[in-house]
Amino acid sequence: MTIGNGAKVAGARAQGRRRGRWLGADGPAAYLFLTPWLVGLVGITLGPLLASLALSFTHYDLFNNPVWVGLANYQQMFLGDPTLLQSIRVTITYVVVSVPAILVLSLALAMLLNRGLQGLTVYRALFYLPSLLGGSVAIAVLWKQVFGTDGMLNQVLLVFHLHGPTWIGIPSTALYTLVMLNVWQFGATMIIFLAGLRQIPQALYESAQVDGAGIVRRFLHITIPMLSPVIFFNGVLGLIRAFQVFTSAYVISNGTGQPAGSTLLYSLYLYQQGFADYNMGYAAAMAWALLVFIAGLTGLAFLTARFWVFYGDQG
Amino acid sequence: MGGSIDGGPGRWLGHSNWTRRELLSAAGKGALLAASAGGLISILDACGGGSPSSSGGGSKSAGKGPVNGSLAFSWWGAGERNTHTQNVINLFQQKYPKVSVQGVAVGNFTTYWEKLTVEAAAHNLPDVPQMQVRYMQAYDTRNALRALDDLVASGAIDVSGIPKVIVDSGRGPDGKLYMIPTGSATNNWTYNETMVGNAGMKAPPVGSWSDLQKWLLAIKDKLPHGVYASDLLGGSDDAVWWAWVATHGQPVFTKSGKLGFSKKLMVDYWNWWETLRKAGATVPASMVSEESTNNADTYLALGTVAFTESPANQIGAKQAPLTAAGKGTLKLAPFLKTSQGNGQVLVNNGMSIAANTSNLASAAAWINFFTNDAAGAKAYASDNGSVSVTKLLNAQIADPTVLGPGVLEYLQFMKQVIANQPTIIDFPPNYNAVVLALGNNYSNVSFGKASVASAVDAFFSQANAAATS
Repeated sequence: MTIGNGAKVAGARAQGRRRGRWLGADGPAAYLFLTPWLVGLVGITLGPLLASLALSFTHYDLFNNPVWVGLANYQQMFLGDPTLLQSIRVTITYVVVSVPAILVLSLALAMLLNRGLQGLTVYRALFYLPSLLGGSVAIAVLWKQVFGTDGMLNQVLLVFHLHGPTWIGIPSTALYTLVMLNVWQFGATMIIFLAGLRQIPQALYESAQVDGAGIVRRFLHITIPMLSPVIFFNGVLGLIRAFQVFTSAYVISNGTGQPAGSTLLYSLYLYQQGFADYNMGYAAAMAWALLVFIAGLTGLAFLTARFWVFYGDQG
Repeated sequence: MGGSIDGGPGRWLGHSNWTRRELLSAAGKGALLAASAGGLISILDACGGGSPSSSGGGSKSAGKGPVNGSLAFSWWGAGERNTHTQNVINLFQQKYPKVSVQGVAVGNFTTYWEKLTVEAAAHNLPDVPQMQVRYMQAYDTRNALRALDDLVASGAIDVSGIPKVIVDSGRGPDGKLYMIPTGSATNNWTYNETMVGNAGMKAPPVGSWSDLQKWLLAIKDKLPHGVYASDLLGGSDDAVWWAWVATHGQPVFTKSGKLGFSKKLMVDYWNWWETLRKAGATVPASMVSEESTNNADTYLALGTVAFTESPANQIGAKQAPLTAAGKGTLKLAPFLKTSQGNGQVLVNNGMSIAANTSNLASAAAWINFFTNDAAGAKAYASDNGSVSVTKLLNAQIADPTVLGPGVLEYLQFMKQVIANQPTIIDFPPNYNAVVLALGNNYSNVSFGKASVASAVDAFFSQANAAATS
């Protein structure tokens, strides 16, 4: 046993030396090939990221040199900006409604497509299509047409002799048109669910069926637990995406957040601060507050995951 | 259940040897980093350092030199305006064959200013950006534009044919000239004369605010179903607000850029609109954010309203769809002028020179050509405001054959406005934020989310904060 272990250790050392030689010989070449990525990481991501952190402690009007103001921007955010509170309220409503909605819809469709449907690849591609288009300005413009007074939705309602309002013009419905635009982009989430569903061993369902478990019980006690890592993954990604939504709110409200501030999402207000008010220091502080909040929320999700996410590799 | 996602649709995820935990965990963290960084990049793209210096100089030869090389020029507009502008560029390049004008048109007015802001932040403004008095201070007070006084003094740019009141609209708060006005524009009432006649009403009485309100309340029930007396302009239109303030004898802004009038005046103004809205004389609040900014799709152009505020130079574009649909003829009417002040405000468009230009002689030559050349003025056909040189304006009125539909009427209207000593407003550098606050707070009022008094308080607070930020 001892000899065997010693041999393993010696073997591992030899492997390590081989790896070291390999790195030693080809290391420069590897780094050469990595250079474009490293330059991008430092120059386009990390550099501006740190610069924005510094700017968040300044008054910066875009034209003149930033002036150090310490924590003033953060103080104003937490103590003296009612419009920011309004934008936070709108954003939380948006996230709380749209993220569960997109999870439920995409899981339902993934389960439908997982039933051995003919032409599965075609359906999959069709359902995925909105995810490619959804974030674009063109689709947001189209959305404006769909939910306008004479839009497609009201034309359909007219068939049933119903006169719909201008859905984008009323504070009580305007935000939900943005939610629907987000939910419409369910394709990517659905594909990931579909991948997860295909990993669940059929034997589990067959055993449960033999034991007399019905559809609902099989869904609650097999599908959901086995799919929980994918639900967790899609949920976290959906949260991050939803907190940063900008294009649809900008296009549909012409950049104003109207009607009555109902579409003033956090990112839109951040944009207004930076480019309408020339208050880039404050906008940078808002961006960092959002980053910290999303990081905190994601961390919380990972902490709670141990109680409800079943990875299957636990003892 | 520690299997890898390596079968069926899972393959597109790429890696076949990771456990589900590793893959999902790594992807989640990666996505967080990418998402967080992505949210900040847009801000950081605009970050630059240092501030450009605006140079004045006093040389008698300032701006005079060889006209050659590349010259960047940007303007807002689309369609017909781009054709007109390109025609002038072609004429200029015929006269100066060694210069190449790189024209950049931005279709959307708001987007134009956002783009210009980012360019200015990076000290990368085009040599000659088109400018407007409402937004000029954002650039001149922050040293992004070059003062043009020395170019005028040296004769590189000739402004002798432009009335003084128009030239002065291009001055900054320091008294220096930062914009050569090339097109005079103003906001005013526009109404559908045919609809008003069919309703059995006379032309709107624009001599008093209360008479105008009574007229709008009277006509609302005489219009066809689905046609409203007026747009709802309490927050979506800044020009009527200036007119209200100016005709009550108060300044719109103080020298420091704060609001220069009383809160009571603003309360009265929004109540004036609320009376009309609640009576159904205006479009409902829900229709405000739905109105297109495209001239041909505005409620006036579609025949949905009979009366609104609309800049005089847009009459042709708004008349065209009405004519096509047989829905009437538009007519211009001036804002009120009282003993206390004139509601007509000059909102001139013009050209500036960027502080960062490296081709000053060509920039000066281009502005001079655009402003004074007879063939150039004819080619542009007063597309963005009435041509500012009086001689050229008179020539276009005398021979309107090259002008588009409705342009002659607005040129004659502008001539009257200019002769009538219009009001000049010193717009603050952060005017954009003031407009946003005006719109948002009135929107809260019109949807019943705030009382007029509290919305006025919020408007003053936000607008004055913008002045000091």
